[in-house]
Amino acid sequence: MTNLSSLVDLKNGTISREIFVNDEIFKQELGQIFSRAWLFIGHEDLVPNPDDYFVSRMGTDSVILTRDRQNKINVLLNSCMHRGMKVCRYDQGNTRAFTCPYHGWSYSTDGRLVEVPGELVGVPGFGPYYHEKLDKKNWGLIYCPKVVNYKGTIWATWDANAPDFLDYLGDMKVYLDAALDHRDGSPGGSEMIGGVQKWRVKCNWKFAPENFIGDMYHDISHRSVDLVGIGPSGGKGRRDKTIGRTTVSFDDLGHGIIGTLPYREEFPYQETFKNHPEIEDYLKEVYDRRLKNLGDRLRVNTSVGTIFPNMSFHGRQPRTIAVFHPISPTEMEMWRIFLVDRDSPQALKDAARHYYMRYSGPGGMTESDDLENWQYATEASAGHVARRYHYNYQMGMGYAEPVPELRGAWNNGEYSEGNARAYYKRYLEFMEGRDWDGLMAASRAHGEARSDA
Amino acid sequence: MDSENLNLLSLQPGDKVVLTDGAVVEITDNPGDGVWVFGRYLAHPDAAKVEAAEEQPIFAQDIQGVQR
Ligand code: FES
Ligand SMILES: [Fe+2]
Repeated sequence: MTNLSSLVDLKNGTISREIFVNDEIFKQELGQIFSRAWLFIGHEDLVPNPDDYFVSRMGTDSVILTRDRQNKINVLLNSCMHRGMKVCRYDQGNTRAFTCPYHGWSYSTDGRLVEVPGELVGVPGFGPYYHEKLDKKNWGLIYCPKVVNYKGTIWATWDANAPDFLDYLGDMKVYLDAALDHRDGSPGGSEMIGGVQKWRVKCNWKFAPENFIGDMYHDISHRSVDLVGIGPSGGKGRRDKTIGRTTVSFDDLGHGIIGTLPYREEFPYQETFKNHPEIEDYLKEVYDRRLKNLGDRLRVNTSVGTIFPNMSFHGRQPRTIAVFHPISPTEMEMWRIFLVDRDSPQALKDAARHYYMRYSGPGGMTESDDLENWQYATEASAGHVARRYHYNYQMGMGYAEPVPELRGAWNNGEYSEGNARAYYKRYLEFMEGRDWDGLMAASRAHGEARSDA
Repeated sequence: MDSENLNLLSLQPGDKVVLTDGAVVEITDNPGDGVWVFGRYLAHPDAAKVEAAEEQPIFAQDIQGVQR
């Protein structure tokens, strides 16, 4: 085991390049983080009907997200218990049983046939060759003991002792809600548009979740796309400061955001689709509904958020979920899912989809800026001499202020590396092998969630 | 016994098939994967299996032929 506390030096705000390039550390991450933490698996729209499935990942493991005939959502390890064959080799589809293509063992999720999801129901030669002596109940597919559907997003953990998802999320929930709720402020109501974009990047997976919530002062990377002007309002030039924007970290949980502090009075309406007057009319009407729905309730705006360890999301334009799957220390697979209000007019869905593709994904102009930074930073850090040195995370150290409305939240200010420090503090706590009592103690000490948030 | 080809894709719900152990099965679903079909036992050397009205996965290799 590598001693990590010397590599992640939170007191001085420096982090060794080893955690971004080292094989041994990567293996520890799979064991300590990806086998225990709540991970984003997919969206319920990927499995709308009974027997639908979607193949996802948890760390380096392939998993199958299924909706069974009783409408329950399950997450199964995609590896046959006989010789390990991938039982499902499609990305997505519908099936009533997963039959292994190697020797034909067949697994079911149908609650009428099985007691646990993925139970082994069919074994060729069970009577004549196994003499009915194979204990089928013991040889079902491995399944996640904890799975939740949170406002359409599916999350799972391998660890039966993990805290409930909402506990894990803490008051970061209000920022996630701002992305998943309807623009008019009513709960839920988002749907996926298009499919899942997937692509691989030669970079360490942690660059992405860190970058998403530390995006501010790297605006410089996006100068070229800002000069072209790809937004639905067509503005060209430079990105100017957004009113009310700051960064907030949940230091005991590792989550963070770029967005606003909690507030009670809605910001004035801002046009975001100036090139599409009919969409603008609709959005103004949604805004008026939002004023009525939320009244003076506490609310937030999320530009970007990261939920530890590997899921990030955009709450406004483009509204998307991104997930960063580790492949090796120097490679990740990145996915993007795009969201829109389910009941919004087709014109908005179309315009949003086009804008999202101009912005995000492997062909997105803004995304490709980031991908290049992460790829070349990883490559250059892996050099024999380069990896002796630490990265610098010192911006804004010691200047964070507590956010009184939210448990365990810190306002780092608009330009700060406070979010990254909180993320790596959590990283270290997981990597040290703390148990869940140890991992959750600080967060639980803040007490219960407020009822009006 | 003659070796006779059985087109597994042609099996439809409602068809009755005879298995190598003498059991008779009414097909309820055919996923078309060429490995399994689903069905209910109408007759089986072990009477308990007939009483269990539940669908069972039937290994295609165990099907001797269609009952006409
Ligand atoms: S590996 Fe799956 S049945 Fe043998
Ligand atoms: Fe960026």
